[in-house]
Amino acid sequence: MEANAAIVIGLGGLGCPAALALAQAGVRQLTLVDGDTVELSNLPRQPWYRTADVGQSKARVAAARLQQAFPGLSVRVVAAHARPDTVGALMRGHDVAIDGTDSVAAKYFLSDAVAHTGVPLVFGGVVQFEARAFRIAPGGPCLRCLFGEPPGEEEVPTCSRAGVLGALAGVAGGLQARLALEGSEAPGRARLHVLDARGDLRVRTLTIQRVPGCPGCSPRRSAG
Amino acid sequence: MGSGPVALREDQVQRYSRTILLRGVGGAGQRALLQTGARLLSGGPAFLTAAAYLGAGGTPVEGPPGLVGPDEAGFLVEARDVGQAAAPTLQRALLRLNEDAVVQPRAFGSLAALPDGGGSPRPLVALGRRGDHVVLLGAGVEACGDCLAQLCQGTQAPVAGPDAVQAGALAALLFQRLVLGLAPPLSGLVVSPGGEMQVLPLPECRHGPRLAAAVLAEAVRHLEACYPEEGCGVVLEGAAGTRWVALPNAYAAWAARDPDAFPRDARSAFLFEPAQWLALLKEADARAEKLLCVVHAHPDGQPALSAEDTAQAAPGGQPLLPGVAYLVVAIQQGRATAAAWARWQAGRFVEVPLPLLR
Amino acid sequence: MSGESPAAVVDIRGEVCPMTYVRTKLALETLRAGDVLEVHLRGDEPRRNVPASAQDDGHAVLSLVPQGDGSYVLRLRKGG
Repeated sequence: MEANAAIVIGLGGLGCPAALALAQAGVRQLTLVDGDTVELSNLPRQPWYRTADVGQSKARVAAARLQQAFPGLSVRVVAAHARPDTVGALMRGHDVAIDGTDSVAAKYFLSDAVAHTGVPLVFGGVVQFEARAFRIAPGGPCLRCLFGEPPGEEEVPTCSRAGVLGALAGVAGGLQARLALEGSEAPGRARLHVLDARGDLRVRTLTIQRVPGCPGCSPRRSAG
Repeated sequence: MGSGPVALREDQVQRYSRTILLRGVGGAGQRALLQTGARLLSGGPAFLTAAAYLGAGGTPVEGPPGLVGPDEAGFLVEARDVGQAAAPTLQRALLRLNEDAVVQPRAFGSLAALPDGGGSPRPLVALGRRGDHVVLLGAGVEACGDCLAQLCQGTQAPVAGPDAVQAGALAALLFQRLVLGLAPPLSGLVVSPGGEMQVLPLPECRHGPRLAAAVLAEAVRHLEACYPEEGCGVVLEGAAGTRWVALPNAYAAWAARDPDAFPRDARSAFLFEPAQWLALLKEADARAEKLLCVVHAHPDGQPALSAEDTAQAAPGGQPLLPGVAYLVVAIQQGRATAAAWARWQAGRFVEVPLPLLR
Repeated sequence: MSGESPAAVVDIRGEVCPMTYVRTKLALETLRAGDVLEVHLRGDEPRRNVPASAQDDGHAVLSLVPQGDGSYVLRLRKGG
């Protein structure tokens, strides 16, 4: 699959490597969406950002760095978080989207937007020593087929859940980009890639089937 | 409290907070990352991505040789850097990313290209291809050189491709795991053209020692001469090859001083005199030799590590001398009859019988 | 309530999660197994998060005492 235009939503641990991989693959236009500013604790896993960038807009800094590395690349910056009411318009016009967000809620409304925009989205996640990625096509399966309804008000996760290895996020983001460019699957099916980076290293590839009638990926008239 | 580890600076505690939070890592793990450098022995987009993640994570990075290539633009390299000397370009970029990435560390491991990179200093991550699959190998200090060489066979040099970010991040991950002590001595991954990863299955190491026959014979003669007591010593390995160093068995002397702590005798136990052991290590260091194995005899016993031997060699389940093997020689009636070579693998000693040529 | 005197005291009342537990974890590293660490913390999230994280890492929560001013004193015993 050729992708001319890709959108990366979230320029953190997943979005940084995904954006680089897309640019290296020759994607001609990248839209970068992120409302956050750079924090010192981001730097070990978000290699576009330097020490002096702390406090700056992530989307703007990543765009500038990408431009310096790839002068022929067309980069559009949206220095704001994607929201349920803006995500559709953001995604339209792109061949593929990358989920670089770090909130469960965002991942769900991004997944929901695939059906009504027709833009495939590659989900990614990294927590502690585990990295995951899977490609959500307009026909599903989607995040709801995989995980069901979003979890309710989560019990406050312990601080150790905030631990993450930067390089593992790099693997997830790099893989997301590959799935974005190359990964169309059989209709109604998708593979979830999981890497457990502890000890003896374990990789699992799970085949997810679309759940019939799933509210997240059933065909519907495109929203306004 | 004596001199403890150098504390992390406040800015480091902030920067590396998410790494410190990881189970089994903590401040100690982060300090380990800061102290073991990675020398890039090859360029290319995958290696440069690895350099970015390693440097960002606090690992000092050096290299690579040569000039910046046109496919290397990325986290550390801008389009205008193409054609410049790669190592200084990287140093400038790393300094802006993280000043910890440009300090001189205690020691360097390597990131090298297959198939030739297998002999590079450890901890080592080697990257290359087998056909259209990317191959990554991680080797710690303890990894068997022969097993590693076997895994390197049939591989080719890395080629820039759509997998560079994923491959480079994997290389950084494997390196960090080795430094953090979270990885077995040898591990490998294969990445298919679609990005799917698979762990390389590793056979149990059945390789014997890289001991010259004459050195083994000298050791055996010494052990036979010590019969019926447990003779002991070490084999050192340096640029000139291996050499045997006999050490007196100090067990009897210690037993005489403290029979409660040392209840056995020199026929069933061995001990190196600490002062002599230290002197030997210093000498080996000065001669750029490393400890290959500890040798001892089992007079009228089995050619295998006893429970006491294992407890001594790996107290608390952790090898006291990482990367060092153990040679146990059974001596019956003053003649060596059989021997075993034991190496620490995946949490236990794996023993291989060693033929004794007569 | 144990009258045992702590081997170290950490004041994280000015911190937000997860730096709260980062400081706690680093302080625990300097102690020996069985030592007591006293942690002064403030806020709902730290109050729930720090003891739970410590338990996850194999340490024991000895007590968590409100101080009446919105802050708490947590006592942990280092595991391992």
